[in-house]
Amino acid sequence: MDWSFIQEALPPLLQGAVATVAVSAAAILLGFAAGAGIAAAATSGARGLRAFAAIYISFFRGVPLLVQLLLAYYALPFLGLDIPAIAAAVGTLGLCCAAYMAEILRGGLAAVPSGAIEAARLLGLTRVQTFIRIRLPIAARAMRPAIVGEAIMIMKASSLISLVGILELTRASQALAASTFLPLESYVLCGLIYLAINLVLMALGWERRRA
Amino acid sequence: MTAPFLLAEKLERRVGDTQILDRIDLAVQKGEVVGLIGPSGSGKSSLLRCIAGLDPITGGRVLVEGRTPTPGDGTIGMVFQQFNLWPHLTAQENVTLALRLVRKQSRSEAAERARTMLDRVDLLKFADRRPAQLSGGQQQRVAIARTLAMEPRLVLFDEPTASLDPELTTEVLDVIRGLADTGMTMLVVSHEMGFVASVATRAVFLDHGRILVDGPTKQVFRDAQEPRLRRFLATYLQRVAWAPEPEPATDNPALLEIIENPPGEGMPLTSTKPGA
Repeated sequence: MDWSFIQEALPPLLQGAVATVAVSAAAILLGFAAGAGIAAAATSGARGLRAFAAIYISFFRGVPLLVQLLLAYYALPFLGLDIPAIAAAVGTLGLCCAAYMAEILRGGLAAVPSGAIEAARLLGLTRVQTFIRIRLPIAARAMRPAIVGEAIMIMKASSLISLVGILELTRASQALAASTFLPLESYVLCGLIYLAINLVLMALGWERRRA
Repeated sequence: MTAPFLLAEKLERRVGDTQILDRIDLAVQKGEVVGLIGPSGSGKSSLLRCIAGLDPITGGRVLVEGRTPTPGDGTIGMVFQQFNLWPHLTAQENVTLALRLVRKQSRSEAAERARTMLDRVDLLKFADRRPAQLSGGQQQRVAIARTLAMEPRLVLFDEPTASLDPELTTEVLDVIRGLADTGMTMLVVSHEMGFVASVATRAVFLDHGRILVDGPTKQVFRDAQEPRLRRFLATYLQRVAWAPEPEPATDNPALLEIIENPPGEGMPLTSTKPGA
Protein backbone atom coordinates (compact mmCIF):
# COMPACT_ATOMS: atom_id res chain seq x y z
CA MET A 1 0.00 0.00 0.00
CA ASP A 2 1.14 3.50 -0.81
CA TRP A 3 2.30 5.30 2.30
CA SER A 4 1.32 8.64 0.88
CA PHE A 5 -2.22 7.31 0.46
CA ILE A 6 -2.48 6.50 4.14
CA GLN A 7 -1.19 9.94 5.02
CA GLU A 8 -3.85 11.44 2.84
CA ALA A 9 -6.61 9.08 3.89
CA LEU A 10 -6.24 8.94 7.63
CA PRO A 11 -7.31 12.47 8.63
CA PRO A 12 -10.75 12.33 6.96
CA LEU A 13 -11.29 8.74 8.04
CA LEU A 14 -10.38 9.45 11.65
CA GLN A 15 -12.70 12.43 11.58
CA GLY A 16 -15.40 10.08 10.35
CA ALA A 17 -14.49 7.60 13.06
CA VAL A 18 -14.92 10.26 15.72
CA ALA A 19 -18.41 10.94 14.35
CA THR A 20 -19.16 7.21 14.31
CA VAL A 21 -18.08 6.79 17.91
CA ALA A 22 -19.97 9.90 19.04
CA VAL A 23 -23.18 8.93 17.25
CA SER A 24 -22.97 5.32 18.46
CA ALA A 25 -22.16 6.28 22.04
CA ALA A 26 -25.13 8.64 22.12
CA ALA A 27 -27.37 5.96 20.59
CA ILE A 28 -26.17 3.29 23.03
CA LEU A 29 -26.72 5.55 26.04
CA LEU A 30 -30.16 6.51 24.76
CA GLY A 31 -30.84 2.85 24.03
CA PHE A 32 -29.82 1.78 27.50
CA ALA A 33 -31.90 4.44 29.24
CA ALA A 34 -34.95 3.94 27.05
CA GLY A 35 -34.43 0.18 27.18
CA ALA A 36 -34.53 0.30 30.99
CA GLY A 37 -37.83 2.16 30.73
CA ILE A 38 -39.23 -0.34 28.24
CA ALA A 39 -38.08 -3.25 30.40
CA ALA A 40 -39.81 -1.67 33.40
CA ALA A 41 -42.96 -1.25 31.30
CA ALA A 42 -42.72 -4.83 30.06
CA THR A 43 -42.66 -6.16 33.62
CA SER A 44 -45.08 -3.67 35.17
CA GLY A 45 -48.46 -4.61 36.55
CA ALA A 46 -50.27 -2.27 34.19
CA ARG A 47 -51.63 -4.06 31.17
CA GLY A 48 -51.39 -0.93 28.99
CA LEU A 49 -47.70 -0.49 29.73
CA ARG A 50 -47.00 -4.14 28.99
CA ALA A 51 -48.86 -3.87 25.69
CA PHE A 52 -46.92 -0.73 24.79
CA ALA A 53 -43.63 -2.48 25.53
CA ALA A 54 -44.62 -5.51 23.47
CA ILE A 55 -45.57 -3.39 20.46
CA TYR A 56 -42.48 -1.23 20.79
CA ILE A 57 -40.14 -4.21 20.97
CA SER A 58 -41.88 -5.99 18.09
CA PHE A 59 -41.70 -2.94 15.84
CA PHE A 60 -38.08 -2.01 16.44
CA ARG A 61 -36.85 -5.58 16.28
CA GLY A 62 -39.08 -6.51 13.39
CA VAL A 63 -38.47 -3.65 10.94
CA PRO A 64 -35.01 -3.29 9.36
CA LEU A 65 -33.00 -0.46 10.86
CA LEU A 66 -32.41 1.00 7.41
CA VAL A 67 -36.15 1.18 6.82
CA GLN A 68 -36.58 2.79 10.23
CA LEU A 69 -33.96 5.40 9.30
CA LEU A 70 -35.64 6.13 5.99
CA LEU A 71 -39.00 6.40 7.75
CA ALA A 72 -37.56 8.86 10.24
CA TYR A 73 -35.86 10.78 7.45
CA TYR A 74 -39.02 11.15 5.39
CA ALA A 75 -41.78 10.86 7.94
CA LEU A 76 -40.66 13.46 10.45
CA PRO A 77 -40.65 16.38 7.95
CA PHE A 78 -43.96 15.07 6.63
CA LEU A 79 -45.33 15.35 10.16
CA GLY A 80 -44.04 18.90 10.29
CA LEU A 81 -41.25 18.13 12.74
CA ASP A 82 -38.11 20.06 11.90
CA ILE A 83 -35.46 17.84 13.45
CA PRO A 84 -31.88 17.89 12.18
CA ALA A 85 -30.97 14.74 10.24
CA ILE A 86 -28.25 13.86 12.72
CA ALA A 87 -30.68 13.97 15.64
CA ALA A 88 -33.21 11.86 13.77
CA ALA A 89 -30.50 9.35 12.94
CA VAL A 90 -29.17 9.12 16.50
CA GLY A 91 -32.71 8.94 17.81
CA THR A 92 -33.69 6.10 15.50
CA LEU A 93 -30.50 4.20 16.22
CA GLY A 94 -31.05 4.69 19.96
CA LEU A 95 -34.72 3.70 19.90
CA CYS A 96 -33.88 0.55 17.96
CA CYS A 97 -31.09 -0.23 20.41
CA ALA A 98 -33.60 0.28 23.25
CA ALA A 99 -35.76 -2.59 22.00
CA TYR A 100 -32.83 -5.00 22.22
CA MET A 101 -31.58 -3.54 25.50
CA ALA A 102 -35.05 -3.93 27.00
CA GLU A 103 -35.01 -7.64 26.19
CA ILE A 104 -31.50 -8.04 27.60
CA LEU A 105 -32.39 -6.19 30.82
CA ARG A 106 -35.70 -7.97 31.26
CA GLY A 107 -34.13 -11.38 30.74
CA GLY A 108 -31.12 -10.61 32.93
CA LEU A 109 -33.22 -9.39 35.84
CA ALA A 110 -35.63 -12.28 35.50
CA ALA A 111 -32.76 -14.74 35.63
CA VAL A 112 -31.64 -13.66 39.10
CA PRO A 113 -32.45 -16.63 41.36
CA SER A 114 -35.55 -15.93 43.43
CA GLY A 115 -33.79 -17.38 46.46
CA ALA A 116 -31.25 -14.54 46.48
CA ILE A 117 -34.13 -12.08 46.58
CA GLU A 118 -36.06 -14.02 49.22
CA ALA A 119 -32.99 -14.11 51.44
CA ALA A 120 -32.69 -10.33 51.15
CA ARG A 121 -36.37 -9.89 51.92
CA LEU A 122 -36.21 -12.04 55.05
CA LEU A 123 -33.13 -10.21 56.28
CA GLY A 124 -35.04 -6.95 56.10
CA LEU A 125 -33.72 -5.25 52.98
CA THR A 126 -36.25 -2.94 51.33
CA ARG A 127 -37.33 -3.53 47.76
CA VAL A 128 -35.14 -0.70 46.52
CA GLN A 129 -32.14 -1.93 48.49
CA THR A 130 -32.70 -5.43 47.20
CA PHE A 131 -32.89 -4.18 43.63
CA ILE A 132 -29.77 -2.02 43.84
CA ARG A 133 -27.58 -4.19 46.04
CA ILE A 134 -28.65 -7.70 45.04
CA ARG A 135 -30.68 -7.96 41.87
CA LEU A 136 -28.91 -5.43 39.68
CA PRO A 137 -25.33 -6.55 40.40
CA ILE A 138 -26.17 -10.23 39.95
CA ALA A 139 -28.01 -9.46 36.71
CA ALA A 140 -25.26 -7.14 35.49
CA ARG A 141 -22.69 -9.92 35.55
CA ALA A 142 -24.94 -12.11 33.47
CA MET A 143 -25.96 -9.34 31.08
CA ARG A 144 -22.55 -7.84 30.39
CA PRO A 145 -21.68 -10.01 27.36
CA ALA A 146 -25.08 -9.36 25.79
CA ILE A 147 -24.87 -5.61 26.43
CA VAL A 148 -21.38 -5.42 24.94
CA GLY A 149 -22.63 -7.43 21.98
CA GLU A 150 -25.48 -5.00 21.46
CA ALA A 151 -23.08 -2.04 21.72
CA ILE A 152 -20.92 -3.60 19.02
CA MET A 153 -23.98 -4.17 16.84
CA ILE A 154 -24.94 -0.51 17.17
CA MET A 155 -21.41 0.62 16.43
CA LYS A 156 -21.56 -1.34 13.17
CA ALA A 157 -25.17 -0.47 12.42
CA SER A 158 -24.30 3.21 12.64
CA SER A 159 -22.74 2.77 9.19
CA LEU A 160 -26.32 2.78 7.89
CA ILE A 161 -26.82 6.42 8.77
CA SER A 162 -24.39 7.28 5.98
CA LEU A 163 -27.31 6.54 3.68
CA VAL A 164 -29.33 9.41 5.09
CA GLY A 165 -26.48 11.79 4.43
CA ILE A 166 -24.57 11.88 7.68
CA LEU A 167 -20.82 12.06 7.47
CA GLU A 168 -19.34 9.28 9.55
CA LEU A 169 -16.73 6.63 8.98
CA THR A 170 -18.47 4.72 6.21
CA ARG A 171 -19.45 7.83 4.30
CA ALA A 172 -15.98 9.27 4.75
CA SER A 173 -14.58 6.10 3.20
CA GLN A 174 -16.99 6.33 0.29
CA ALA A 175 -15.94 9.91 -0.32
CA LEU A 176 -12.31 8.93 -0.10
CA ALA A 177 -12.78 6.06 -2.52
CA ALA A 178 -14.49 8.35 -4.98
CA SER A 179 -11.88 11.08 -4.81
CA THR A 180 -8.78 8.87 -4.87
CA PHE A 181 -10.08 6.11 -7.14
CA LEU A 182 -8.71 3.65 -4.58
CA PRO A 183 -11.86 1.93 -3.28
CA LEU A 184 -10.14 -1.22 -2.06
CA GLU A 185 -7.58 0.65 0.03
CA SER A 186 -10.23 3.02 1.32
CA TYR A 187 -12.54 0.27 2.50
CA VAL A 188 -9.72 -1.84 3.95
CA LEU A 189 -8.75 1.13 6.12
CA CYS A 190 -12.38 1.74 6.98
CA GLY A 191 -12.84 -1.85 8.07
CA LEU A 192 -9.67 -1.81 10.15
CA ILE A 193 -10.84 1.30 12.00
CA TYR A 194 -14.21 -0.32 12.77
CA LEU A 195 -12.36 -3.41 13.94
CA ALA A 196 -10.11 -1.35 16.23
CA ILE A 197 -13.08 0.43 17.79
CA ASN A 198 -14.95 -2.81 18.38
CA LEU A 199 -11.91 -4.59 19.79
CA VAL A 200 -11.88 -1.94 22.50
CA LEU A 201 -15.56 -2.67 23.18
CA MET A 202 -14.92 -6.41 23.24
CA ALA A 203 -12.13 -5.91 25.75
CA LEU A 204 -14.65 -4.21 28.03
CA GLY A 205 -16.76 -7.34 27.83
CA TRP A 206 -14.06 -9.77 28.87
CA GLU A 207 -14.66 -11.38 32.20
CA ARG A 208 -12.33 -9.97 34.77
CA ARG A 209 -10.40 -12.76 36.42
CA ARG A 210 -11.02 -12.98 40.12
CA ALA A 211 -7.96 -12.63 42.26
CA MET B 1 -49.20 -23.08 80.15
CA THR B 2 -47.77 -19.89 78.75
CA ALA B 3 -48.78 -18.62 75.33
CA PRO B 4 -46.72 -20.46 72.70
CA PHE B 5 -43.77 -18.70 71.10
CA LEU B 6 -44.93 -19.70 67.64
CA LEU B 7 -48.54 -20.43 66.93
CA ALA B 8 -49.96 -21.57 63.62
CA GLU B 9 -53.72 -21.83 63.69
CA LYS B 10 -55.77 -23.55 61.01
CA LEU B 11 -53.08 -22.57 58.57
CA GLU B 12 -54.17 -23.16 55.02
CA ARG B 13 -52.50 -22.72 51.69
CA ARG B 14 -54.29 -23.55 48.50
CA VAL B 15 -53.09 -22.91 44.97
CA GLY B 16 -55.84 -23.45 42.44
CA ASP B 17 -57.32 -26.82 43.25
CA THR B 18 -54.30 -28.03 45.14
CA GLN B 19 -54.47 -28.02 48.90
CA ILE B 20 -50.85 -27.54 49.89
CA LEU B 21 -51.43 -27.00 53.60
CA ASP B 22 -54.63 -28.22 55.19
CA ARG B 23 -55.62 -26.60 58.52
CA ILE B 24 -52.25 -26.90 60.17
CA ASP B 25 -52.26 -26.36 63.93
CA LEU B 26 -48.83 -26.07 65.45
CA ALA B 27 -47.73 -24.51 68.72
CA VAL B 28 -44.02 -24.24 69.49
CA GLN B 29 -42.61 -23.15 72.84
CA LYS B 30 -39.53 -21.03 73.19
CA GLY B 31 -36.36 -23.08 72.96
CA GLU B 32 -38.03 -26.03 71.30
CA VAL B 33 -36.36 -27.68 68.34
CA VAL B 34 -39.02 -29.13 66.08
CA GLY B 35 -38.12 -31.57 63.35
CA LEU B 36 -40.52 -31.58 60.42
CA ILE B 37 -40.46 -34.88 58.57
CA GLY B 38 -42.49 -36.35 55.78
CA PRO B 39 -42.33 -37.35 52.15
CA SER B 40 -41.51 -34.88 49.37
CA GLY B 41 -44.55 -32.80 48.53
CA SER B 42 -46.05 -33.28 51.98
CA GLY B 43 -45.95 -29.54 52.66
CA LYS B 44 -42.95 -29.31 55.01
CA SER B 45 -41.20 -26.59 53.06
CA SER B 46 -44.47 -24.82 52.33
CA LEU B 47 -45.21 -24.72 56.03
CA LEU B 48 -41.87 -23.03 56.70
CA ARG B 49 -42.37 -20.61 53.83
CA CYS B 50 -45.83 -19.69 55.07
CA ILE B 51 -44.57 -19.16 58.61
CA ALA B 52 -41.79 -16.95 57.23
CA GLY B 53 -44.28 -15.03 55.12
CA LEU B 54 -42.60 -15.91 51.84
CA ASP B 55 -45.67 -17.75 50.56
CA PRO B 56 -49.12 -16.26 51.11
CA ILE B 57 -51.55 -18.22 53.25
CA THR B 58 -55.13 -18.64 52.19
CA GLY B 59 -56.54 -19.30 55.62
CA GLY B 60 -55.71 -19.32 59.31
CA ARG B 61 -52.97 -17.28 60.92
CA VAL B 62 -49.40 -17.32 62.15
CA LEU B 63 -48.34 -15.62 65.37
CA VAL B 64 -44.85 -15.27 66.77
CA GLU B 65 -44.89 -13.96 70.33
CA GLY B 66 -48.47 -12.94 69.74
CA ARG B 67 -47.81 -10.88 66.64
CA THR B 68 -48.11 -11.64 62.95
CA PRO B 69 -44.56 -11.68 61.63
CA THR B 70 -43.76 -9.98 58.34
CA PRO B 71 -40.73 -10.90 56.23
CA GLY B 72 -37.79 -8.77 57.23
CA ASP B 73 -39.08 -7.62 60.60
CA GLY B 74 -36.20 -9.43 62.26
CA THR B 75 -38.31 -12.07 64.00
CA ILE B 76 -37.64 -14.99 61.71
CA GLY B 77 -34.44 -16.14 60.07
CA MET B 78 -34.40 -18.80 57.41
CA VAL B 79 -31.76 -21.11 56.00
CA PHE B 80 -32.51 -22.52 52.56
CA GLN B 81 -31.69 -25.76 50.79
CA GLN B 82 -29.89 -23.84 48.03
CA PHE B 83 -28.06 -21.57 50.52
CA ASN B 84 -29.16 -18.47 48.56
CA LEU B 85 -25.95 -16.61 49.16
CA TRP B 86 -25.37 -13.52 47.04
CA PRO B 87 -22.78 -14.62 44.48
CA HIS B 88 -21.32 -11.17 43.85
CA LEU B 89 -20.37 -10.62 47.49
CA THR B 90 -17.69 -12.25 49.64
CA ALA B 91 -18.63 -14.40 52.62
CA GLN B 92 -18.06 -11.46 54.93
CA GLU B 93 -20.01 -9.05 52.73
CA ASN B 94 -22.89 -11.53 52.63
CA VAL B 95 -23.05 -11.22 56.40
CA THR B 96 -22.43 -7.48 56.68
CA LEU B 97 -24.90 -6.27 54.04
CA ALA B 98 -28.05 -6.55 56.13
CA LEU B 99 -26.23 -5.40 59.26
CA ARG B 100 -25.28 -2.21 57.46
CA LEU B 101 -28.48 -1.58 55.48
CA VAL B 102 -31.04 -2.80 57.99
CA ARG B 103 -29.30 -2.47 61.33
CA LYS B 104 -27.53 0.70 60.19
CA GLN B 105 -24.31 -0.51 61.74
CA SER B 106 -21.09 1.26 60.83
CA ARG B 107 -18.71 -0.42 58.44
CA SER B 108 -16.34 -1.50 61.20
CA GLU B 109 -19.11 -2.55 63.56
CA ALA B 110 -20.70 -4.76 60.90
CA ALA B 111 -17.35 -6.21 59.86
CA GLU B 112 -16.53 -7.12 63.43
CA ARG B 113 -19.90 -8.78 63.95
CA ALA B 114 -19.58 -10.64 60.65
CA ARG B 115 -16.15 -11.94 61.57
CA THR B 116 -17.44 -13.12 64.93
CA MET B 117 -20.27 -14.96 63.24
CA LEU B 118 -18.01 -16.49 60.58
CA ASP B 119 -15.68 -17.60 63.33
CA ARG B 120 -18.59 -19.33 65.04
CA VAL B 121 -19.13 -21.47 61.94
CA ASP B 122 -15.37 -21.91 61.63
CA LEU B 123 -15.04 -19.99 58.38
CA LEU B 124 -13.15 -16.87 59.39
CA LYS B 125 -10.28 -17.90 57.16
CA PHE B 126 -12.56 -17.77 54.13
CA ALA B 127 -14.15 -14.41 54.92
CA ASP B 128 -12.87 -12.88 51.69
CA ARG B 129 -13.96 -15.69 49.41
CA ARG B 130 -16.96 -15.54 47.20
CA PRO B 131 -19.60 -18.27 47.35
CA ALA B 132 -18.32 -19.87 44.13
CA GLN B 133 -14.97 -20.41 45.83
CA LEU B 134 -16.53 -22.28 48.76
CA SER B 135 -17.80 -25.84 49.07
CA GLY B 136 -21.52 -26.41 49.49
CA GLY B 137 -21.11 -27.06 53.19
CA GLN B 138 -19.07 -23.91 53.63
CA GLN B 139 -21.66 -21.90 51.71
CA GLN B 140 -24.40 -23.21 53.93
CA ARG B 141 -22.41 -22.30 57.03
CA VAL B 142 -21.97 -18.77 55.66
CA ALA B 143 -25.72 -18.64 55.09
CA ILE B 144 -26.28 -19.71 58.69
CA ALA B 145 -23.85 -17.04 59.90
CA ARG B 146 -25.66 -14.44 57.77
CA THR B 147 -28.99 -15.43 59.30
CA LEU B 148 -27.76 -15.57 62.89
CA ALA B 149 -25.96 -12.23 62.61
CA MET B 150 -29.38 -10.57 62.53
CA GLU B 151 -30.33 -12.24 65.82
CA PRO B 152 -33.65 -13.76 64.76
CA ARG B 153 -35.95 -15.05 67.49
CA LEU B 154 -36.87 -18.11 65.45
CA VAL B 155 -34.79 -19.90 62.82
CA LEU B 156 -36.32 -22.02 60.09
CA PHE B 157 -34.14 -24.58 58.31
CA ASP B 158 -35.53 -25.74 54.99
CA GLU B 159 -33.71 -28.96 54.13
CA PRO B 160 -30.37 -27.33 54.90
CA THR B 161 -28.36 -30.39 53.88
CA ALA B 162 -30.41 -31.84 51.04
CA SER B 163 -27.95 -30.68 48.38
CA LEU B 164 -24.82 -31.70 50.27
CA ASP B 165 -22.86 -34.94 50.33
CA PRO B 166 -22.68 -36.84 53.65
CA GLU B 167 -19.40 -35.29 54.74
CA LEU B 168 -20.53 -31.73 54.10
CA THR B 169 -23.87 -32.61 55.67
CA THR B 170 -22.09 -33.48 58.88
CA GLU B 171 -20.30 -30.15 59.14
CA VAL B 172 -23.57 -28.26 58.62
CA LEU B 173 -25.51 -30.43 61.04
CA ASP B 174 -22.83 -29.91 63.67
CA VAL B 175 -23.38 -26.16 63.40
CA ILE B 176 -27.15 -26.57 63.76
CA ARG B 177 -26.64 -28.95 66.66
CA GLY B 178 -24.49 -26.32 68.38
CA LEU B 179 -27.19 -23.75 67.80
CA ALA B 180 -29.79 -26.02 69.38
CA ASP B 181 -27.59 -26.20 72.46
CA THR B 182 -27.80 -22.42 72.84
CA GLY B 183 -31.57 -22.65 73.30
CA MET B 184 -32.52 -21.18 69.94
CA THR B 185 -36.07 -21.94 68.85
CA MET B 186 -35.87 -23.78 65.57
CA LEU B 187 -37.97 -25.57 63.00
CA VAL B 188 -35.94 -27.99 60.94
CA VAL B 189 -37.17 -29.67 57.80
CA SER B 190 -34.83 -32.54 57.14
CA HIS B 191 -34.57 -35.96 55.63
CA GLU B 192 -31.71 -36.75 58.01
CA MET B 193 -33.69 -38.96 60.35
CA GLY B 194 -30.71 -39.61 62.59
CA PHE B 195 -30.17 -35.90 62.95
CA VAL B 196 -33.83 -35.20 63.67
CA ALA B 197 -33.83 -38.03 66.20
CA SER B 198 -30.81 -36.64 67.98
CA VAL B 199 -31.41 -32.88 67.89
CA ALA B 200 -35.16 -32.28 67.71
CA THR B 201 -37.05 -32.25 70.97
CA ARG B 202 -40.20 -32.84 69.02
CA ALA B 203 -41.03 -34.43 65.70
CA VAL B 204 -43.90 -33.52 63.42
CA PHE B 205 -44.85 -35.80 60.55
CA LEU B 206 -46.65 -34.25 57.62
CA ASP B 207 -48.36 -35.92 54.71
CA HIS B 208 -50.51 -34.30 52.03
CA GLY B 209 -50.46 -30.95 53.77
CA ARG B 210 -51.66 -32.28 57.11
CA ILE B 211 -49.98 -32.99 60.40
CA LEU B 212 -50.46 -36.70 61.02
CA VAL B 213 -48.20 -37.13 64.02
CA ASP B 214 -46.85 -34.59 66.49
CA GLY B 215 -45.01 -35.54 69.65
CA PRO B 216 -41.72 -35.90 71.52
CA THR B 217 -39.13 -37.16 69.05
CA LYS B 218 -38.35 -40.45 70.76
CA GLN B 219 -42.00 -41.29 71.05
CA VAL B 220 -42.72 -40.43 67.42
CA PHE B 221 -39.88 -42.61 66.19
CA ARG B 222 -40.38 -45.46 68.62
CA ASP B 223 -44.12 -45.94 68.81
CA ALA B 224 -44.80 -45.11 65.19
CA GLN B 225 -48.43 -46.17 65.36
CA GLU B 226 -49.67 -44.09 62.49
CA PRO B 227 -49.53 -46.40 59.42
CA ARG B 228 -48.33 -43.72 57.02
CA LEU B 229 -45.49 -42.77 59.37
CA ARG B 230 -44.55 -46.44 59.79
CA ARG B 231 -44.25 -46.84 56.04
CA PHE B 232 -42.28 -43.63 55.79
CA LEU B 233 -39.79 -44.61 58.48
CA ALA B 234 -39.50 -48.12 57.08
CA THR B 235 -38.30 -46.80 53.74
CA TYR B 236 -35.50 -44.99 55.57
CA LEU B 237 -34.51 -48.10 57.40
CA GLN B 238 -34.40 -49.98 54.15
CA ARG B 239 -31.51 -47.79 53.18
CA VAL B 240 -29.51 -48.77 56.22
CA ALA B 241 -27.44 -51.71 55.03
CA TRP B 242 -28.20 -54.02 57.93
CA ALA B 243 -31.96 -53.71 57.66
CA PRO B 244 -32.96 -56.38 55.13
CA GLU B 245 -36.74 -55.82 54.97
CA PRO B 246 -39.00 -52.86 55.46
CA GLU B 247 -40.46 -53.42 58.88
CA PRO B 248 -42.22 -51.51 61.60
CA ALA B 249 -39.90 -49.10 63.34
CA THR B 250 -40.41 -50.63 66.76
CA ASP B 251 -39.20 -54.04 65.65
CA ASN B 252 -35.98 -52.73 64.29
CA PRO B 253 -32.99 -52.94 66.59
CA ALA B 254 -30.98 -50.52 64.47
CA LEU B 255 -33.44 -47.69 64.88
CA LEU B 256 -34.02 -48.46 68.54
CA GLU B 257 -30.31 -48.26 69.06
CA ILE B 258 -30.20 -44.84 67.49
CA ILE B 259 -33.19 -43.62 69.46
CA GLU B 260 -31.67 -44.80 72.70
CA ASN B 261 -28.19 -43.52 71.89
CA PRO B 262 -28.50 -40.64 69.48
CA PRO B 263 -25.37 -39.99 67.49
CA GLY B 264 -23.39 -37.17 69.00
CA GLU B 265 -21.07 -35.00 67.01
CA GLY B 266 -20.46 -37.74 64.50
CA MET B 267 -22.09 -38.88 61.32
CA PRO B 268 -25.83 -38.64 60.82
CA LEU B 269 -27.65 -41.91 60.47
CA THR B 270 -28.70 -41.73 56.88
CA SER B 271 -26.98 -40.36 53.84
CA THR B 272 -28.63 -37.78 51.63
CA LYS B 273 -30.38 -38.88 48.48
CA PRO B 274 -27.92 -40.64 46.21
CA GLY B 275 -26.53 -38.24 43.66
CA ALA B 276 -28.01 -35.24 45.42
